[in-house]
Amino acid sequence: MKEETVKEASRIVGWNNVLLAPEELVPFKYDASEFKGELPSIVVMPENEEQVSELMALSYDKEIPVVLRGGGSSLTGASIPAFPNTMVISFSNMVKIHEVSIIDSYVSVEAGVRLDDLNAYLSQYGYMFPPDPASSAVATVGGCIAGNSGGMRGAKFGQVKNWVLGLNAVLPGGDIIRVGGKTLKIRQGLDLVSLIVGSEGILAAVTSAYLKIWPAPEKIARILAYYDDLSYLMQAVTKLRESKLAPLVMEFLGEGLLDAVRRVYGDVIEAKGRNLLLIDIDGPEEALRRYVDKAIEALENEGLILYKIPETPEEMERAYLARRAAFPSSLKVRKKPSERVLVSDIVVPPSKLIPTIREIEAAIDRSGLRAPIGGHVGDGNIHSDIFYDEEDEGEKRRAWRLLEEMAEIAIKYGGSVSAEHGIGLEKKELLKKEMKSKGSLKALEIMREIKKIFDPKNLLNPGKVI
Amino acid sequence: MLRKAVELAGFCIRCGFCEPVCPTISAFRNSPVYGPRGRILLLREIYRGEFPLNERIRDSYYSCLNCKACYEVCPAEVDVGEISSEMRKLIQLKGLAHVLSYIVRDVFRLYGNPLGVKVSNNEISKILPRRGKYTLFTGQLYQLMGYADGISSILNLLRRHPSLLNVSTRSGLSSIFLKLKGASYEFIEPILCISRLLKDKDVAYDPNADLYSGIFLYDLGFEEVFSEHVKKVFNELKERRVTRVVTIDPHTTYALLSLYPRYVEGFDIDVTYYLELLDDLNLKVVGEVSVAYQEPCYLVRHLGLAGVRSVLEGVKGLSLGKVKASCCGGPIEYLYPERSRAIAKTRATELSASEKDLFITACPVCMSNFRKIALDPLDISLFIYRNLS
Repeated sequence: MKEETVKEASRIVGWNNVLLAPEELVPFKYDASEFKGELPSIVVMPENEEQVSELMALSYDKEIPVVLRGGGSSLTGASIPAFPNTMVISFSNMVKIHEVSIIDSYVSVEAGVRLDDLNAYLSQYGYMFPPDPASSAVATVGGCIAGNSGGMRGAKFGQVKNWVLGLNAVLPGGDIIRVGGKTLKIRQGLDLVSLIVGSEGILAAVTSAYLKIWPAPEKIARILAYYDDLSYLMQAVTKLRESKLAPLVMEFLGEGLLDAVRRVYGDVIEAKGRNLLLIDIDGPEEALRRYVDKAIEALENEGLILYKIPETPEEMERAYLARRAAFPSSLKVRKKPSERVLVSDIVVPPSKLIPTIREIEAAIDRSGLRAPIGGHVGDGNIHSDIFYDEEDEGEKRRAWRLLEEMAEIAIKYGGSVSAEHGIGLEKKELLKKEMKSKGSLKALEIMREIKKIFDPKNLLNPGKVI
Repeated sequence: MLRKAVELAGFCIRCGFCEPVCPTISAFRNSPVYGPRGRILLLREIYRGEFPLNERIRDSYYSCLNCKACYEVCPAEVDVGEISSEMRKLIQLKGLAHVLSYIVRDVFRLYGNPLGVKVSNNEISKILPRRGKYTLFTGQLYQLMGYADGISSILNLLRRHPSLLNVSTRSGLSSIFLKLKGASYEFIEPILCISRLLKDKDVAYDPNADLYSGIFLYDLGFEEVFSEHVKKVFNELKERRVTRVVTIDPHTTYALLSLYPRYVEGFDIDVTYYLELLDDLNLKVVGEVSVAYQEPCYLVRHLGLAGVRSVLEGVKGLSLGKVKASCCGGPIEYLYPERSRAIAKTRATELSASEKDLFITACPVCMSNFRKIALDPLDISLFIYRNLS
């Protein structure tokens, strides 16, 4: 990058908000994915929207690629530079919560605010921002908007796209657009908010957002149901969905994950049962008993080994932590440091979960790899942690093949290759495969054309998604 | 050392959960290389030969507070404090450490403590008997932190005149430390209070057995010097037939419990943190008192001793906020004073320290660092002593 460009970028944000030393740039080559990006030439940390606009204008003028960075927790390589000579715009200095309105049901926040910080802030009002990706401690509002994140509460509340009312964003070239607004309903011609949510930083730099907020659950009942046979567990999921209960959380832990969790949470996780279904039902205290009875009715089938309802707040918290800790717990039982993990993120209609999981299990068996499964079954989202030794090329190839196979199974059952982690660098080919199988390659063409309209010089997060 | 550090980092999956809890990233301009994930990513590049092992990497590892906040949230249980310790050893061996570190080592070699001051413990001898079941081992940390203001002025002088930092003048500079005036009483008073509290607990004091623990040398990466020193301390204790020591600060306690056994074969001295002996406290405060408590990370995270909090929680009328333990920034004050103060300010805000009736800590390093931002925390020992019913 030319010295004058560096000087100009530094003038815009101030020298204190520029990283240029090679050792300071190294972390920006990586995120939580298995990919390694290029070393950026500069990292800038603007403090406001005007500075982002000036930086985007500079990038456009000098034709420098830009990558946007939030918490750096992408699992698909969405937040690392795919090309050299890149400018990374980090949102670590844009962490203001501007305002919250309970009457209007929104909070206005800057892109760099982390989700857990946002929810800690909202909790003082008895409210929450419902999407809760497992990375909520590190993930930022901007990153979650770019990734259209989901999480455990997705069964009831869906993904981030359901919770974004309005966006302020900067386009390549520096133009600022304000789309959507702070109202609960709006019609503004074509819905650019929905277009930008989930665009993985290839269309615009979101600087702040109006997010819809929701009252925190009044009371929650938690049920842990154990099954040996996965088909019976999935049968229970189907029945629960038919019961009109709309649980807040409906999570499944398969054998491998449950075993790992048992080692740490043996006090709340029963010794019996190979698979676990964890359900949270929320509602007013006076109705909750009725809801729980109805849920148990749905859970009971000949495959049910036993169910437990944690009663004290401590037991409830431990059971929740056990679910949260499933992925970390499986990491702890790795044999050696070179063992890496690919995280599959497919989704199918919940009615297709039974055949989907059967085929996934068969694919895992064929691969000979350890790939415990679990996921947010309430919305048909299945994750599998595919472990492989990065020093073993054959194993690495099999891991990637298994990731592909799982995606193919999802497509077969009318689902998608990604539910909530996004496409990034990881699933570009799989996305093509999905669109082809649906006879919708035209849709990809439209996406590319849209990208050109937003970013004619292909400078914003190039090499990703499409 | 590099290999060991890489092995320690082995299971890191780069999830970044460690970054929001790390106190140093925000103090270093939000630059992630001054945080746990960045330290690991840089280390792996150095190991693979993709980044040179040169002076540029120094600050990433010397800025680590070893507070274990990252360890607490890490899904893969990676201890970046340990990784940074390994890297500091390597950096100083390669001669790449900051010149101030080498000054500390040289002064220590000459005078037996990192400041070259003569520590007087006569007052303790007046309170505690010479013989007893336990022996008080202050490790001299409170006493040395009492010179913190003097050290700061010397370091400021060195920073104003960087030419003084020329390596050839190191030995001359060492003598500047000797001109430090006496330790401030705020750091001596806790030792005397603790001695009084332990008077009826069969605790003795032998000034000749109370040597500096060597912890700062270890923190700066001088493993060999530390290793030699701890053997000397152990021999001295054995010679004086000390079998059980009582420690009074988190860092010395950590050194004796966690590091000494690694460096001294057959280390068999029983180590007890003094509050563990005071299990029969009956404390009373007048009216309602709100307290901001800076829980030392070495005490709770490294040693799992939550005793101080329990002492405070048991006092009727005292309201103690539930703020998670986090570092005061003190361990890096010597090399990065401005960053260290920034961390202290953030921490004081988290604790609402200036809005509470009392601000309490149990660590001389915390005490010293908060004093640098114009706060004046009370040592837990003084609180106990003043409120015994």
